[in-house]
Amino acid sequence: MAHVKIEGLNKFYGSKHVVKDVNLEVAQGEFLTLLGPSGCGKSTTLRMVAGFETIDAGKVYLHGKDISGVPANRRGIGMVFQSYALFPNMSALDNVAFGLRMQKAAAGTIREKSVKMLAEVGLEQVMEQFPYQLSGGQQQRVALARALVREPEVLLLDEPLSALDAKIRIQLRELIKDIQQRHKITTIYVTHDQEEALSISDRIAVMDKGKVVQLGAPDEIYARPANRFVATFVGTLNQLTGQIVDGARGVLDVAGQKLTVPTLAGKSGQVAVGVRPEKIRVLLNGAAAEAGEVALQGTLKSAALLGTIVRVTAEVGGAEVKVDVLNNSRLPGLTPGAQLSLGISQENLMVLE
Amino acid sequence: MITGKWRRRLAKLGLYLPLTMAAIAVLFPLVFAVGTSLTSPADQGTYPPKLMSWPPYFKSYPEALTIAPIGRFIWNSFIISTAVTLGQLVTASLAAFAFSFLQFRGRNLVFYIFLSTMMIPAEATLVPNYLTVRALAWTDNYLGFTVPFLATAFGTFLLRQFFLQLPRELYDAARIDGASPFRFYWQVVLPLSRPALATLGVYSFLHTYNMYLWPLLITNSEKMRTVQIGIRMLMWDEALDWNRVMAGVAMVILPSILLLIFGQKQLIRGLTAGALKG
Repeated sequence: MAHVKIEGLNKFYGSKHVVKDVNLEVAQGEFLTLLGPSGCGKSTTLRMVAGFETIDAGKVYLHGKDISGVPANRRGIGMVFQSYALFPNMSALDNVAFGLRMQKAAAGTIREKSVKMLAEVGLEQVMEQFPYQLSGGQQQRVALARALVREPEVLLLDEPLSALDAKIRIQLRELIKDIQQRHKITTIYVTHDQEEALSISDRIAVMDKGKVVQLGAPDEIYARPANRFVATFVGTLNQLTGQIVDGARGVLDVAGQKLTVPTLAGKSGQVAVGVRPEKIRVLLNGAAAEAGEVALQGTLKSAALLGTIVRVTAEVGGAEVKVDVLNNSRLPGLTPGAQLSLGISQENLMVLE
Repeated sequence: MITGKWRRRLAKLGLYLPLTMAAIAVLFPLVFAVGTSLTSPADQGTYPPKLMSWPPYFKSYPEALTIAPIGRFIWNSFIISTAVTLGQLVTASLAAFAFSFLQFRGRNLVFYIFLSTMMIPAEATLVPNYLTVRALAWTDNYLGFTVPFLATAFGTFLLRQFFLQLPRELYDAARIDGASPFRFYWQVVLPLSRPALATLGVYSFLHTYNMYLWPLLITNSEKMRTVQIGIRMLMWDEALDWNRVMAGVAMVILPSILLLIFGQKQLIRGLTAGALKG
């Protein structure tokens, strides 16, 4: 049985249908991420699970029990907010202890558990400090400790890292994942950052316009996106649009260059195919495409060093194609305007519907 | 040629000169009142007029206290103002909390109806309030002074605007941690709203302390009179001795001035909260 089950969830704001028939199941101890652009309904879905928003249609089950009408404070859920939502008039310790006090736990237990939880997030040194005396990263750690100290059945995180700078974001997401696995707590995480979602989740539900458009493991979402929206939203994608000139073999004409894409066999008309930048090879020194590869000729526009990779941008038939090449210094000097030959394995070409 | 140093000095002069003139204009009545209270009867009416006698004539104060029981009036006013202030802080903060954090049908409509009562002139409610208080036998009684003023639309509006600045997520965080709305109000909203509460407190205290018409209307006995009526009593004496009147005024305004001195920081913070987005 799913630990958390979301069944046919719908939400309207006036005449605006913001969450449309969302169905999800989250297993015990699983880390599920709701990923999507701003306004796609992911936070509203999370807030309905938390009990902050009324549900217009549908149900939320916890351990098979319908909790749709249960107030937020009786759902056994912990939540971390984007703005930390720490009580400014209380110290870090008092913020963490707040939930236990509401549970009327014994004073000794409250202190013991709160201190332990703060130590777990690495903040035992600053527990007497007030939120305004802490950095953004420290505040979010306190918020995480506060959400976990009551040992909730489910942890909800609503864009917890989006207000932090890049380095702290990476540190904190590792901490979140580590603590989640240590506590084996069922987690629903909301973000618009696809890199964050791919790195942290057991499964990802990609949302668009209030609907879940794809649900799957991160590698599945990345490698086999269900549609053009998922393909373009998750990761970087090159799109090549052309006319099918041989429907039997699936030959596509992209600005005069012929690409054989077996998955296009039987189709006709204008179609678009996509390929990830790291799935394209720069064919050096006149090397030919290998078996199962298609070759494209292009003109180099730029080559940017991004640390471990070099992002090569080429123009192919009026379209821009990005190629990520490992920065192992085996590439010859790339000068804009140079002719390039690009090799793409046929299996890496995705048909975009 | 005006150098930068002189330009700064002139700019300061341009700022401080009107401020000093405004301060003199505001403080003059106060200085005049205290000065007159320290003027002997012989020095009154002399030409050119004296701001005060030298040595100061302190007898005006005990004389004023024998003409009217100013001490009793100050006590009455203090009790009434404190009760009204506390009452308004409780009712206005609870109402403001409901209007800013609780979700219920018709919330905005009720709030606007509440707000519209501010447009009714106080004089228009005087007679109905008097009839009600009289029917309840609350005339000449502290209840009659306080109960009609325990709720305030202005205070509710002031506090609601302040509460709306508190992040909604604080409420959500408290709720998911198991706090009831009242617990959130008590442990989070009130401590965070001290400037606004102090503003309302000072305003409410001074407003009640300075009331004249209502206390005059509902009091019959001298022991229930308040300060503003007490001053008037000094002026009903057969001979109008301004030094005694002003001695009464000086005694009466002392609590207000002390309140302003100690509350001005919070008062300014509360009144300007939300005026600038930083």
